[in-house]
Formats: sequence, C-alpha cells, structure tokens
Amino acid sequence: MLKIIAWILLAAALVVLPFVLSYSQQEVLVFLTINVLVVSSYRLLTLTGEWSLAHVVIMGVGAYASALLTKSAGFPVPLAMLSGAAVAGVFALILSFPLFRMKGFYFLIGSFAAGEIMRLIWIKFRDPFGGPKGIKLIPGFDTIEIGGLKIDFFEPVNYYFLALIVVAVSLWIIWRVERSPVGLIFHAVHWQDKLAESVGGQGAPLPHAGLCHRLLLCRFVGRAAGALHRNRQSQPLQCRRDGLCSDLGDRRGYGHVLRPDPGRDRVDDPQRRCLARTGDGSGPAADLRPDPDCIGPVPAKGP
Amino acid sequence: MKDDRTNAGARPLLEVNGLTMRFGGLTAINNLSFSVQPGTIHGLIGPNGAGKTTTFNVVSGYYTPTEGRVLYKGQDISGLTMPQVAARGLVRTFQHSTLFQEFSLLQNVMVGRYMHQRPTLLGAILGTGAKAARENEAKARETLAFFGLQLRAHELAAELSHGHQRALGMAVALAAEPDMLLLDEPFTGMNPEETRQMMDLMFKVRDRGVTILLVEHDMQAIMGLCDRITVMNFGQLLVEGAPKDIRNDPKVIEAYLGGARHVA
Ligand SMILES: Nc1ncnc2c1ncn2[C@@H]1O[C@H](COP(=O)(O)OP(=O)(O)OP(=O)(O)O)[C@@H](O)[C@H]1O
Ligand SMILES: [Mg+2]
Repeated sequence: MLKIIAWILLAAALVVLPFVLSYSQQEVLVFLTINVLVVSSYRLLTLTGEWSLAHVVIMGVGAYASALLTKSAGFPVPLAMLSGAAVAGVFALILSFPLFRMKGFYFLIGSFAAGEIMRLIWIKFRDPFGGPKGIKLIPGFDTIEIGGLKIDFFEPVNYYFLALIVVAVSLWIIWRVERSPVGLIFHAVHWQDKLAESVGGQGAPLPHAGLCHRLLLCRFVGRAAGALHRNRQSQPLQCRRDGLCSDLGDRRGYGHVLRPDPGRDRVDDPQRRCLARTGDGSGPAADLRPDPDCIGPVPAKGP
Repeated sequence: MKDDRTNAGARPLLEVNGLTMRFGGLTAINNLSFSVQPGTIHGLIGPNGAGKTTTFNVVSGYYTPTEGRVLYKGQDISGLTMPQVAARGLVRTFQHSTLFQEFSLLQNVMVGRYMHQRPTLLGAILGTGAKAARENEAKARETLAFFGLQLRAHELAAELSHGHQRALGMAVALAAEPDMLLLDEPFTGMNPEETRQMMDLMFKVRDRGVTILLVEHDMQAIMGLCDRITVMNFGQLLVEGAPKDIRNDPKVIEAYLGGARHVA
C-alpha cells in the first residue's frame, strides 16, 4: 500500500515538475530524463559483468541515423526515431560478433576500439556526418495532431512528456528482463561463467540472448538518442543586436553559425533574445520560443 | 547386486580412448583409456596431481584434448564446448565449491534448469514464459528437497556450511537432468554422517538412471559406492577393477603411499 502511494506521488511529481520550471530549466529536464535512460540501460549490460565503452557510441549511432534519415531521406521524425533505434540495434548486433568473443579487460579494450572507430568516422567524414560540429539543420519534430489535439514538440514540456513515456516503458522492460530467467542467466554468467556453462548456460542460446539483449538495449538508447537529436532543435537560438542568430554550435563552443533572425520582421526589437513564432515578442525572455523557420537554409550573407 | 551392473557386454556410455593432455611441457594425462558402463557408479581415483580433475575438464569440454578421443553415447565429443557437452546430457561439478554465492539456493538450482527452460528475451518482456518458469521453479524446489535443502531455499548460498555447499553444487548439476554426472570430490567438507547421507542420495540418483563418474579421496565412500574403479597415477592408467580388487592391489597401495610421501 505504502509502495503504491509512493509510486503515485512520484508520478504526480514528475507530471507537475515541468510546470514549475522555467523554459530553459525545462530543456535541461528533457536531457536529464533522456540521460536516466542512457545510464539505466547500462545496467542490463553490466549484469553480465562486462563493461562496454561503446555504449554511448551506439547511442550516437542511433542519433546520427535518425538525423540522417530525417534530413537526407525525408523520413517523418517519429519514424526516423524508431528507425534510428533499429539501426543502432543492428550495429550493436554486428559488433557483438567479434566483441562477444572477448571477456573482461579484453572486452573493455575491444569495445573501446570499436567505439573509437565509429567516433572517428563521424569526425573525419564531413559528408554526411558533418565533422566535429555534427549534423546541422535537422528538420524538427512536426506538430502532431491526435483527434483535434495539437501537440507541438518544440515545446519542451511536450517533449518532456514524450521522453518520460519512452523512459518509463523502457525502464519497465529492463526491469522485466532483469527479473526473468534471462536476467538470472546474465547474473549467473557474471558470477560463475564456468558453472553456468557446465549446466548448458551460454550454449547457442546464450550468445543469442546476449545479442538480443544488446539489440534491445540499443534500441532504447537509440530511441533516446533520436530524442536527443530532435531535442537539439528546440534549443532557442541566440540572436544578436544585428539580427543574426547563432545555432547550438555556439553553445558547444564550436564557434558561431550566424544566420538572419527570421523573427526580426515580426519582433521589432532586435535586442530581444528573439524568436517567438506565435507570441508577439513582448513576453519575458524565458517565455520565448524558438522559431522553426529559423531552421532553414542559411543564406550566404546576412542582411 | 553390484556386480550385475558392470555388464561388460553393453555399450559403454562414456569411452575415453588414448587421451593425452599436455600443458606446455607438462603431461597431465598420458594416453589414458577407460570406459564407464551406463547405470553404474564409476570411481576415478589416484594420488594428488594424478590428473583426475584434468580428465574431468577434458571430458566435460573445458579443455580440448591434445590427443585421443572422448566418446559419449557412441559419439565423439572431444573438442565440444562445455555447454554443448551439457546439452548432450553430460554435466559435471567442480572440485572447489563453485556456486553462485550471491544467489539464493533456489536461484542457484534455477540456473541448473536453464537448458530445460530456454528463456527468451521476448518471453521475458511479454511474460509468455510464466508457465514454464513456474514448472521449472517447482522442479528446482523438488531438487532442493532431494538434498534436504528445501527449507533454506531463500537463504544465500554463501551462508551454507561447506558440506551443504557441496550438496547444493550437486543439486545445480542434477537440476539439469543429466544422463551422466561427473562429480569432483563431492564429499570434501562433509562429516561422516553427512557423507553417509550423501552416499544414500548417490544411490538414489543412480537408481533414477543417472550414471555417475566420481572422483573422491574418501576411500570408504569410494569403496562403498562404486561398481568399478579406475586408478590413475601420473596421468596414466594404473589399474582398473572392482572395489575389492583395487583395495588390495599392491600397485595402488604403492601409488598412494608414494603419493602421500610426495604431498607430505
Ligand atoms: N591448466 C593447467 N595448466 C598447467 N598445469 C595444469 C593445469 N591443470 C592441471 N595441471 C597440472 O596437471 C596435473 C594434474 O592435475 P589435476 O588437477 O588433474 O590433479 P588431480 O588428480 O585432480 O589432483 P587432486 O587430487 O589434488 O585434485 C598437476 O600437476 C597440475 O599441476
Ligand atoms: Mg582434482
């Protein structure tokens, strides 16, 4: 009974939370939520006693894949997110063939090498990965309409709830797996692999289960990463007095990418931190929302 | 009664032919041959370092033999992995109490049920394996009860006395429903009363149709249990025969005394 009350309280707190936060805090909250998933998905892997240094890189595979699918292949964002997760899963599956032949320290080094190779590929191949700055101008999440209800995912609150649902479902699945006989075998292989093998554990079925587990894991992470990428688009653009706005690049210290402030026509005062699509630009800075139109082809020269 | 079991005419369940295992320059097993008849308890004895555990390791698939073959049910199993050997019905226990110390007794035995449950991830998520899981748990509890451990099902394995840990190790192996069990010194750490109880259980296991290959230093247990005994020394076959012959064989006495001097 106490447990149920605790769960209800937690759920209520998570629902109320974004509404007591400012816009920028809400964005941080979205990242926090996604990172809960990244961290907890690691648990399923470490159940087997192995540490993979490619975990976050696999998450990146999901993110890059979903970004490229929306930008270059024109996938709708929700589909791209799921596909990105699937691509991450397939990558992990392929990687698991060489990596699962290793154990302990060797697995650690092997996974590090695999992750490093992928990271370098992203950095060295500007086309299509955009080099160190990553992929830019990824189309944003469309507003979706369910039975007259319009949900705008540029709104961090909405995005937070989407992330929260994905995280809750994923955590539930991780919990189910851990509590199942499969989870028991993961534990067993961790503590006494020889004993587990002596009763048939880790025969053909176990690597198989291991692979599936990897696949599943990455699917979540890929999904989260997709979410992460999408979420980048909801970062408010920083606009300057001269009406040029810099994108996320500047926050990450990669230098400015300036483009004209599309809100300028509408928002009279260029000193504003800009970009309210629907608002009149008179509200406090924290209430301003980024203008999706801002994310368009960058003209060669500013006005 | 006992001698009836060693029916030499039947096809052996396990045949070890010209087995050699070298670790670098050290020859742990040297051209060893013996066979185990189905439905028997077969002893494998010898002084410390004779190569008994190594023989187990090769037969169970932990090592690939340098030379020679291991036939199980008439099929060559040398070179298979431990899970593959286990899947054919040959399950071994370990000389040192090898258990999942952090697991409860029940969970330990549930791991032994793995081959029969074949859990899948999807089943775990969808909960489709629930019925199989319940059946397996029932089987696991039955196995615990067989070793008299049912009341302690939810205690941690680490909390058991050494003798009980040996029993739990056998329970894990037996839960896999093998046709043949390789037991490596199952009676170490047991007091005489526990040993006697365990011997009764061994007979019961054999009467269920499980063939047992037993490595043990407790001579009373070996002489009381075995239908046939193979004696090894320095990795080689010394003699093989019925317990009463082995007991009085001068070569065996010599080997053990020599071995004892070595150890001392
Ligand atoms: N992995 C290994 N590498 C090198 N030498 C080994 C290895 N395993 C066993 N040996 C050696 O092989 C010989 C036989 O060892 P084994 O453990 O089979 O003896 P045992 O008959 O089981 O003895 P005990 O009664 O003490 O258990 C020993 O000299 C041992 O040191
Ligand atoms: Mg030994």
